[in-house]
Amino acid sequence: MTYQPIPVPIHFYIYLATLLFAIGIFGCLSRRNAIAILMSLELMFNACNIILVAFCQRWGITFTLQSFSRAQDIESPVGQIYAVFVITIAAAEAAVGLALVIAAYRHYKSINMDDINILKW
Amino acid sequence: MLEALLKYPETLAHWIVALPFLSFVFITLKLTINKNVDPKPKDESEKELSPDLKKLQTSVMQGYMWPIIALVGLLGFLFLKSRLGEAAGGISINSVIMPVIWIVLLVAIFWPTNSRHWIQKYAPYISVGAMAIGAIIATSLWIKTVQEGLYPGHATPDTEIWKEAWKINWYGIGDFTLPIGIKLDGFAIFGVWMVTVVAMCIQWFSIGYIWDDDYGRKHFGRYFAKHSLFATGMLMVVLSDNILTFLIGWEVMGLCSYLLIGFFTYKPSANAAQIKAFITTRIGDVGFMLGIFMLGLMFTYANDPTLPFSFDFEHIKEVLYKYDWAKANLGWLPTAAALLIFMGAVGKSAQFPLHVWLPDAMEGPTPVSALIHAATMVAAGVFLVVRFFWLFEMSPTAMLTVAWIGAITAFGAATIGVVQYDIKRILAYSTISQLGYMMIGLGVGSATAGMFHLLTHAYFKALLFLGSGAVIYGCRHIQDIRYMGGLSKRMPITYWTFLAGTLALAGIFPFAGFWSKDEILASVFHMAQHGYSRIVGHGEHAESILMIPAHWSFYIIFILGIAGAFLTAFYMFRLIAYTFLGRHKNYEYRGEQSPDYGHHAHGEDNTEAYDKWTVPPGPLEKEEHDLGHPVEPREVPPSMWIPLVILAIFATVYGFMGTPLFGEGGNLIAKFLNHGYPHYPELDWLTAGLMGSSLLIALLGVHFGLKINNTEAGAVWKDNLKAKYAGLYRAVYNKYFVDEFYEEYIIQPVFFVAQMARAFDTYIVDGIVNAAGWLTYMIAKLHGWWDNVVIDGFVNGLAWIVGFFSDLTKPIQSGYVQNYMMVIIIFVLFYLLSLFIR
Repeated sequence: MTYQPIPVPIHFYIYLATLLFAIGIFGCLSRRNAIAILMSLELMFNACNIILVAFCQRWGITFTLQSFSRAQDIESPVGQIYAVFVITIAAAEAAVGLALVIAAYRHYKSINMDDINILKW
Repeated sequence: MLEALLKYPETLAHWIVALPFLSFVFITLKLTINKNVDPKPKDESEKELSPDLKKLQTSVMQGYMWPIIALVGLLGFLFLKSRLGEAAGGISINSVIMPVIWIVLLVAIFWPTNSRHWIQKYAPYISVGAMAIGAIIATSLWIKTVQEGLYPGHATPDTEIWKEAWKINWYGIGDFTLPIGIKLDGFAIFGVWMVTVVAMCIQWFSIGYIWDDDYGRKHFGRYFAKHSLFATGMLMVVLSDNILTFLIGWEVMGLCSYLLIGFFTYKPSANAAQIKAFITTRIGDVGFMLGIFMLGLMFTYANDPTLPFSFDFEHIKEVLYKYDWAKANLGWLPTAAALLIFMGAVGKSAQFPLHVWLPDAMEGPTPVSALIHAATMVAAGVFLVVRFFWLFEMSPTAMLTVAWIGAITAFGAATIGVVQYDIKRILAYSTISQLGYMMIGLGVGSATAGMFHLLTHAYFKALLFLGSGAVIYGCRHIQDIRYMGGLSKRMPITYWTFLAGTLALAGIFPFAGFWSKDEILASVFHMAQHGYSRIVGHGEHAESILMIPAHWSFYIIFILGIAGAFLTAFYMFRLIAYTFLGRHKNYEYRGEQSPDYGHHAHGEDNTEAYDKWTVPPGPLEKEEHDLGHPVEPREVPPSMWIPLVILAIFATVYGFMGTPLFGEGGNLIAKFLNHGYPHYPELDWLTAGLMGSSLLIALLGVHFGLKINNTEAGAVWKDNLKAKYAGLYRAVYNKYFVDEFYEEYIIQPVFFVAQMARAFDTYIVDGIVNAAGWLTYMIAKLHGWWDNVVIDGFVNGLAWIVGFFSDLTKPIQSGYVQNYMMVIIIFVLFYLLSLFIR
């Protein structure tokens, strides 16, 4: 008898992702430090990544790759690809965000979000 | 080299036209471009332009110069490339020269006045050099023509080739083409020879004359540039084979006449004269233009599709001869066209109704009068009639009009010339009179005689005008002959050359004027006896059609001509007597005591007195004061008397070209200057009798002219005559009140109409416009009130309301990022909630 791994049920992933997302939102709303807010954003991105990868593993389509001489069935990598994209964008966003934070700091001598309040009217 | 070039006579003819033009362009360019040659002003008193104006002028010049330089380069290139080697094809110089002329004219308007440029001093060398080369070319052309016997109707294969080769299309639009070219017939060859020689002599003379004048010295370059441009125009007229280039040359001449009459810009009289000359000739030019349009109309009537409209003289002639106008009941058309074209000649040649501008044009420098108002431009009117002679031949009315206008002018102007005192005005009236003679010659059907007189007159009248210029130079710019006298001792060369011109003009036997004037009178006599027959066809097929039957009234023209000849001799020798003979009359005339320097007895005709000659007052008083003794009258320098001598030689011997003494072979004028067929005046008893009688009349005029004006008894007789016929004298002295008549009955009415038109314009047209403007203004004010109060009130009110509510709601925007995020999240939650609560 070969070893059959028991797949993790999908709702486990959902709980984890929801929890991460909620923590991210909470961090975003409650922290006053801009870098902490950025970190919370990263949490939310990662929650999304987990969802993407998990759903792809559970419901991803199996299809036949015909471009090789020997036909071969593989599973869809779409979720993983999306996750990689999201990570890339998150990195870019973090770079931009940190640059903004630095710029804001140079201007206000502070990274407290309550001090940066001219985005109105 | 000349021998080789003579194979292409039209090339040479083009060069003759182009050389003065190129010198004009060159001087103009030099004057306008190289302005920074001498930055330090030598003459502080000279008026400088304001820097702004100068800058503007410079920029305008620079804007105009480059296309001109390019075109001049193109011109030279085309010359060298297309004309010397290949006979056919290529572009003629004409097509390039026309636009250049007009562009350079634009430059002339913005003429800078840099009096210190070196070109001011050396411009005459360019101009005179160009004319001298032209004269050499023209002389060799003439010699070739005479040697080879080329004249119309005697075309050799060579001449046929020229004709084809020198006809080029200026441009074409659709089927319409505009061929232009050079017409080298006898008229053109003799005319070009005359124009170049006379223009060269006159420009040569001008160097000394203009340099003598302070203003002229500063504007030397401008003077010679305009002279050259004028020569271009005249040569173009003489050489054109079509009306279009003819008209262009004609107008260029008119412009240069205008510019040169007003050369002394500081003289108000010169300014008035130039405007008068321009406007008066313009009246004639309107007729000329209408005449050209009439020719176009005749083409429409002739309606021959194989012969479309063209400006070419020969072509028009061909078409118009083909159609039988009398048969189509359109006999008035050639008459109208001829009369309208004659109007142009009347304006340019100063014939009777439009003669008033020529005496006034004497305000210009004397060499200008010599070239433009004696020798060439005024003769262009006659040349116009010569070129359209076939048209005049078609209409007896036109011929008789020409003859009668000429007769009236010849006699009337001669009578006025008798009583004038200004040396130049006497010559001006003489010119008008002689042009009248030419018109008589043309009107009685002898284009040969008219053209012959044009040529001889050009030489001797240019000589006379230059002689008068020399006299004016010698007397330091005094023109009234009453201030002169006895100059023959002080200015011998001027005297003898002037005498040669006078004898030629008076018509004394061996001199040029005798032959030409006599031929005109002989033609009149011939017409009075036999009428005028037009000869159709050439050689064997020639047949004559009687156009104008003989009539006794033509003897009146003959008598007027003879009387004019008498008066001509009379006033010319009056002029000689006043100017060169007798004693100096300056102080006498002014009622002052002549200063006595030793042995001079007052009132005596004592030539010794000229050692202590007293000078005219006025311009010389300062000079006299500086010198401490009176300034002597001076003979002109060689640069001025050499041209006089050249012209005197022409005035003496030129007439032998047209003498009947040498028979058929010797009469070059009759051989080359004829209208389609050679006409030889024969030496028979009638001709000899006419010659003798006209010589007798002229000698009578000479006798009386000297007797009345040079002796004490004559002076008494003259005063008695003046007192007896005071009214007549007054009328003649005031030029028959023609100027006053024009002033009263033409200029004043025109001014009145103009005033009325101006009043109409000021009060009615302007009133309507202003009222419309006022109404618009009031409506606009009303509209503005509506706009400001109602519409703007509504808009502003709306904006106020919006602003009020926005003030109420804008605190929602707190500016805290986390607030915004909260709102987003809440609304997303609401959205998600709404998904579940379906």
